[in-house]
Amino acid sequence: MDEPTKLDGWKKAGECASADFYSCEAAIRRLNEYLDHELTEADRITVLKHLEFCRPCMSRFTFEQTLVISIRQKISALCVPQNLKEKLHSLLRHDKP
Amino acid sequence: MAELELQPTPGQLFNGQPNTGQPGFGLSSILEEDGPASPPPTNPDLFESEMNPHLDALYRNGLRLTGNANDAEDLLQDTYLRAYRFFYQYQPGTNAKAWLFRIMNTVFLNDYRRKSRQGETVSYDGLEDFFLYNRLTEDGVTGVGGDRSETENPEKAVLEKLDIETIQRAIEALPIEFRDTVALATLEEMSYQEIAETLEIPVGTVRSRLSRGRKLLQRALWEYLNGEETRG
Repeated sequence: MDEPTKLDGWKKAGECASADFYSCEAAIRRLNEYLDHELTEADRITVLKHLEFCRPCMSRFTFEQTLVISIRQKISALCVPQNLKEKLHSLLRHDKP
Repeated sequence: MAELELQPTPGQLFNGQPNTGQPGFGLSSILEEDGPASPPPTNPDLFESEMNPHLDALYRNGLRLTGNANDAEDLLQDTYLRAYRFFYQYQPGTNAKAWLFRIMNTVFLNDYRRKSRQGETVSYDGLEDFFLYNRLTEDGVTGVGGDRSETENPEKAVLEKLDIETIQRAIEALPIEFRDTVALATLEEMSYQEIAETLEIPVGTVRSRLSRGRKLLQRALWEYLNGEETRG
């Protein structure tokens, strides 16, 4: 696991002084797990902290998330034909082992 | 495209040696033509309540395996009836979706193998993170329609142009070892553990295939969106 990087520049921001951040590289390495909700809560928060302060990564991650959701929504329109559903329902009642 | 034999991938279900050692599975007998002589009776209502929530996802898996609606419907019916006959082997509380998908993959390999399709031969050159995003935000990009007004919001433009056919073609163009993993995670929202169970591969392999497979998918989407068809 990568140790979160202390960004000295942000320590001057007051309340964020103790916050840990991933580098862009470490955050991007977790992109898929972030998209697929596979990160631990601690890792997810650390990625989110990076995104909060890194506009380019926020833009990229948002695009990737939108792309996955969009693809998933569109493909979910592909459903079992109704007549096949009815046929399967019927077969279970007439094709008992 | 010529019909090719599947190239077995080590550790995958496609090696034709379904794993029977895991709880909740036990697919070897499911391959038997007639099954046991007197299996316990299955309550069709109970079976449907457990399995039907996954029917659409199973149908889409059949479409990806066979490549056409007719064969996908036949494969779904075979899988469904096979699962019904062997429902007594299913352990409630285990993953019904992964169980069904594994039966389908096994039935497909056993009965439909001659019709199996190989993914495209693809080059891994130029794979990068954020492939689509980078193309869309390059200065002066004129792809995906090329209209200047669209390039002012290229992300919106490309997402609007993604249709089911384009997505399906891009998924089908992936090499088979990436196709399943990318489809199950991206389209069917399976967890990495579920994918590992379904495909009988380690979770680490799921991660590595997703990492490369999603980049390949983005490149394929870009090519199809721009009409740069790579299919022969």
